[in-house]
Amino acid sequence: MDFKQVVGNRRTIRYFKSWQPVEPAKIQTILEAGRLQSQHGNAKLIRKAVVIERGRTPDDVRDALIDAMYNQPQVQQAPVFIVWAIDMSGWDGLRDALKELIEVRALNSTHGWSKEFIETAVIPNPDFNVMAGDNTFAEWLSAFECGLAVGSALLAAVDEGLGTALVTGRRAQIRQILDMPKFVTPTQVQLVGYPAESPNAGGQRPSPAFENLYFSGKWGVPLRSDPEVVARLKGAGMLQEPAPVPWRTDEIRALAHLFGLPE
Amino acid sequence: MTQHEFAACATVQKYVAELADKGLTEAEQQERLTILAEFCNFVGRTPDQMVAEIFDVETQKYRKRTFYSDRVKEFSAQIPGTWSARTARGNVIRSFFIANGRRLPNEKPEWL
Repeated sequence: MDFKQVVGNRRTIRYFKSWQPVEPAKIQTILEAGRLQSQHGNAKLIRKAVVIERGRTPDDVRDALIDAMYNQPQVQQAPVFIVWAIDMSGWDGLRDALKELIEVRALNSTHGWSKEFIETAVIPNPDFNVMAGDNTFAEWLSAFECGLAVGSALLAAVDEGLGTALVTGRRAQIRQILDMPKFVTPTQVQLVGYPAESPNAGGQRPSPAFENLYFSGKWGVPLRSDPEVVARLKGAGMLQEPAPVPWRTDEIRALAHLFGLPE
Repeated sequence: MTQHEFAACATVQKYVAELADKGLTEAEQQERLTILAEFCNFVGRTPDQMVAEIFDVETQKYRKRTFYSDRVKEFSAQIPGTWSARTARGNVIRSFFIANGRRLPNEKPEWL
């Protein structure tokens, strides 16, 4: 699928075909999309995930996780959960990861990189080696980096023709169920499965105006959206019909009947 | 509780507004209100009392959710018919609570 179409098609899916398993190759593809995302210092061991699959993971583990995610219907239905987590111990590998980047010629002397520079200038600098400074910044950056991986994983799921969504839950309970160590924090849980609702889930969700989000040169000065670009993005499927489409209420009623949910 | 008192309850009015917003016909709305009134008789409480006591606003925690969840299941099981028909009856009560900002666990189908 074209990238713009994938971005345009992404929705938070809230109704899944619980009866249709997800092919292992598709799950692996989603995880690869996360693994390959950009990462500060290439310290990729900070973002990890536990995959839970209906019929493969023991029922008691899956049921406990459903409870930890407030028994939401979409969680009950989704055949796959990807529990994304931040492993703060992954920052321990920053020095080696940087040196490896020198070895593979990604970090070069053209930009002042050397192994000596890493030891004497980078590792002691809390702006770069976040574990050398304020813990709040380290946690913030870790969450940011994990989010990058999850963002790719969401788009990969759409590209594979799947529905996907992020949900939250009781993190302490999730950590306990999955035997995560103390230095690991479960973040959002990515649900994956074939959508039981129409893939466009009733239309594209409301978003703030472009000009309210992006500024030109100075904070608060709107960066203007070009109507010609908007037209091109509509043609490419990135900007789509806004929600709700006219038949959405009927679709929700039908789904409620299918899953025995209140309307 | 008279029909007039029932209809005057703030929680019922919220529920009716929600049903109308979802495009349910007058007949569909009336059918649901009849079921809600039956449930109120079943638990011996007014709609406003039910919403007030299920959740403790001060502590922001549910305090009688299990009670209502169990009563809804019993109420659903009172009628003969399929699982879907019985669940639909209980879901009227769940919808009433949802319209008033409270959530009861849904009934999970066996096949799920």
